[in-house]
Amino acid sequence: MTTALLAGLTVLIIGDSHLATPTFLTKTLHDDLIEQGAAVHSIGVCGANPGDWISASPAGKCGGSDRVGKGPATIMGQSASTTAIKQLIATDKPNLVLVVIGDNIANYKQSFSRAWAWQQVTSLTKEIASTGTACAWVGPAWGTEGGKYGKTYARATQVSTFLATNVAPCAFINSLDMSKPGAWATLDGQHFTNIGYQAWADGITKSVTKLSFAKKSQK
Amino acid sequence: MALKYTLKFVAMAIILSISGIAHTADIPLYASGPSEDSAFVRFINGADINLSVVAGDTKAKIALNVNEPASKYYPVGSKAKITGEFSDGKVISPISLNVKPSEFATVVALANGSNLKQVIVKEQPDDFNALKSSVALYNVSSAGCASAGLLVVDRAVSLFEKVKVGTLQRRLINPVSLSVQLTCNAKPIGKVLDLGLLQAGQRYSVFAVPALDSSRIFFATDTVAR
Repeated sequence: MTTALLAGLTVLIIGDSHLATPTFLTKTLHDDLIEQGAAVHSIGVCGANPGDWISASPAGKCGGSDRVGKGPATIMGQSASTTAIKQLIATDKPNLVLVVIGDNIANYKQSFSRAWAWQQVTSLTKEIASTGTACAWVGPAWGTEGGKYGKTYARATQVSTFLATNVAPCAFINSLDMSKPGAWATLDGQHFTNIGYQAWADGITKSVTKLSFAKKSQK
Repeated sequence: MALKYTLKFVAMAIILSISGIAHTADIPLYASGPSEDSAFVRFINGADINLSVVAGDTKAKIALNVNEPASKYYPVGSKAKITGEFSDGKVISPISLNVKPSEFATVVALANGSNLKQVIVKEQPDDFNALKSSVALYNVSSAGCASAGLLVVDRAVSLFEKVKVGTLQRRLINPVSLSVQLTCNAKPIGKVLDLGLLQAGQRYSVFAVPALDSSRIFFATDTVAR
């Protein structure tokens, strides 16, 4: 018999395109966390940057999805918009906010915009921290090099390293530790096949159950 | 022949099934970052009288009082010239500068007899870190302080040394309570400045500016306007 390590906890997941399609993390990560006993609300808006979650924004104007509990995801389509994180926290009252944004701040086809990324990331972490809610930030996974976004392993490493030292007081979940580069097949360099999304979700869920907020509830 | 193609199709289907390709996923291309890095500008009152800054385009006014001498950092575009003016109500000092992507520009107004003058110092930080505190020393005091430094009071260690006029040094330190004293040409100058308990992830600037007798220091928290 397995133990539901997140029993009684509520998790709010916000993110970008990796959560904007019902077969992506919207399914795999969401279901994994429910399996661990958590009540889960996932919202993904394609092209969303961290700062787009400070107040409502259409972000990348390329769709989104919203899923609550065991129900199906609601496709937001072209009218997709983020909701202000403080509003989401006030409504859902989560024990944990899980942010899944890495590729969107990577600027794979240009040089890394460090000052912009710092401004984006810290504006969101400060907004979450001001509510006193625990949070964790999931960094980018390896993906495969090339594709229409021009992903590179070097930039994924650079972004991951940047996030590791800049998301505090949120905890950092390092996705690069979950696989070898290129191990999870992708559709376009950045977005994974179902197998990749399941492996990524499994790795994230394992990390979440080890966070201090989860351990407190396991005592 | 038909059987051969059928087998080929079945084999392809199995391969696709095994690899788990999501047939429904068609993500439209979107930008993964800005077209260029952010740039910022802030304004500092290094004089000993109250000043204000008026933006050239919007005419927005920022008060820079002696006891609150630093503005926030304002995001700016790198293509347009930043214009405005410092004023003490009597004299004005026109502001004009360009800020490149990744740059944090600081425009300091200083007394120049009965007029005002400016020093512009720019930095391109790469030390962003939410686990440490970032502290900088800006030396804009030409009054006998060609080489500025900061001593950590009660610990007999230097936080900064040999900061030339018109430049800055920045470093990451642990978020602790800190009191500092200015040194000019390796000699302690003026009063001890209590920075209080530094916060992790916060950035701070200490400014060395001219004073009546020699030089003085004050500090500001580097915050970005939203």
